[in-house]
Amino acid sequence: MKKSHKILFTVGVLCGLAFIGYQQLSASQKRFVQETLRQAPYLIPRYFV
Amino acid sequence: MPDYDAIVIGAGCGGLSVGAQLAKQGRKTLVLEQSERVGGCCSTFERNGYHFDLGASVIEDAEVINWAFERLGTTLWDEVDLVPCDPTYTVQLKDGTQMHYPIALEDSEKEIARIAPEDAAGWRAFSKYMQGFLHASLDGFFVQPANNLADMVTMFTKTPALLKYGPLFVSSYQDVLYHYFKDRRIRESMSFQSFFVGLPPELCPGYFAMIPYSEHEGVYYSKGGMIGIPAALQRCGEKLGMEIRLKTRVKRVLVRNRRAIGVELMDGTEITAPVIVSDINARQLYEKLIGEEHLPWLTRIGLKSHEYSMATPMIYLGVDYEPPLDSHHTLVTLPTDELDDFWWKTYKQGKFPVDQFGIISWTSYSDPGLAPDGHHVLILTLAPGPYKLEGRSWDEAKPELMEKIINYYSEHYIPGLAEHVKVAEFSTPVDFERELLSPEGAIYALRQDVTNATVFRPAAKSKAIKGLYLAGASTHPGGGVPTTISSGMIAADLIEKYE
Repeated sequence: MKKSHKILFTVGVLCGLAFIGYQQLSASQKRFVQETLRQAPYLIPRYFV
Repeated sequence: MPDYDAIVIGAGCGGLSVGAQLAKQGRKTLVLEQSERVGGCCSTFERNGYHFDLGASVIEDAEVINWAFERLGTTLWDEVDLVPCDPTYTVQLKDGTQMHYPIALEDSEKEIARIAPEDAAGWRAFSKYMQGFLHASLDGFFVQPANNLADMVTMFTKTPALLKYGPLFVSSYQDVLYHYFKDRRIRESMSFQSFFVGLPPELCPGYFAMIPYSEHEGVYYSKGGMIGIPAALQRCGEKLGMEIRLKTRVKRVLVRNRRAIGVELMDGTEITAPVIVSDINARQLYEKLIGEEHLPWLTRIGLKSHEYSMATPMIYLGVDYEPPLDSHHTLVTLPTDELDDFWWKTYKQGKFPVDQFGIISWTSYSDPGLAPDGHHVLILTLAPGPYKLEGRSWDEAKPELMEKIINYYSEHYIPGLAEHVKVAEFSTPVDFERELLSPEGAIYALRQDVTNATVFRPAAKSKAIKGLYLAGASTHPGGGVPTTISSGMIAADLIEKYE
């Protein structure tokens, strides 16, 4: 297996696990995660304020 | 030659804390305040003989405030006449159950056991865990700068105990309560405090779940009104040479080559200083007083991404009878999931219902001198209020809403209230904005979740403008009386180090 394939495979497994974990959360916990993820793209710009 | 060594914009608790400490460092310091009194949200005003607290109605974490006074050569206890509040609060649950939370942990445990015996053990475990977290935070978080990643490494290496509490940073306030308590009434009785930092239980970071515990380390009221605390900081600062000018509004911060060199007042007067400290909302500072042309593009994006914190409408009441209440604070709350629903289905939709929840502060219970003989002061801190009300403006809605809410409280929680009101004022988010110049009436400046905390909150030592420092709710550690006072200590330490 090529190195790039291994990386892709690992990333895929991690994403799958994250998806399964997310499905186990309550509606309330999902909203907490969603709100955090919604703001995640701004973390780097916020660091520079 | 600059006019002053340092200029502080805003005489809130953060501004006065940093101003007094800069004076202590021997700097010629000027504090400029746009309103006619000091304190910002921690202030007191008078109407027809009744004294009302504008926002804050008690303090917790007095130890942190005391550190600021110790740095000034005195103590909080010597400067402010503090009245202990015990019970910490009475809570009125939606189903009619009433609970009292005494300061003593064991007495609160008995109260919990009275309602839900199975949660007494949860309370013991919760208290022990949060006690450890609170003390680790006081030592390692409250007065440590969080400007960059190096500061964060320092924070955790100086106080490794903080690492033990990592789960609190990736879970919600609600998750923490649900972990320790099984009975919905016990959860409900501790859920409202998430709004003390401006968010509903499901969105509020788990580390703020220490609030229902920290109340048991002491809750105090400042005799004469909450303005006693900022007034004491002002007094100590002035003894050390700090100068303060009220009713003096800053139009802009003078910037040359990305360095702050002074301020221009509304009347056109320019005052120069090599160090400028802002105690106002950080977005207001950078966007209005400094101007985006002085900011790097990444800073502009980061700044705009910060949402304002919630606003809290308040009704101030002077009454001519003794209200049938039990304690300084009564929390009128809702089940945890209903508080969450309120956030999404009511507050976020621009609605403001009459069937309210919130805090009833009976301040004249702790200090009868706040009202004429036989009269009392009640302050209703209402549910979060939208800045833009659906259908009509706050100014249009205010008289009718106030009357209906007073009647609602009279009918449900404070019998006789409606017949005994002598003075009534309603402060809406728009009024807060007008009076305190706080954008959208935000009481904690900016939203306070994990993505807006520590290094992700505007830095105490500006990364965009040299010689510019921040104190107050906009910067680490965030909104609240002890936290803004500690932000002043952090800013003073940074100025001593770099200027």
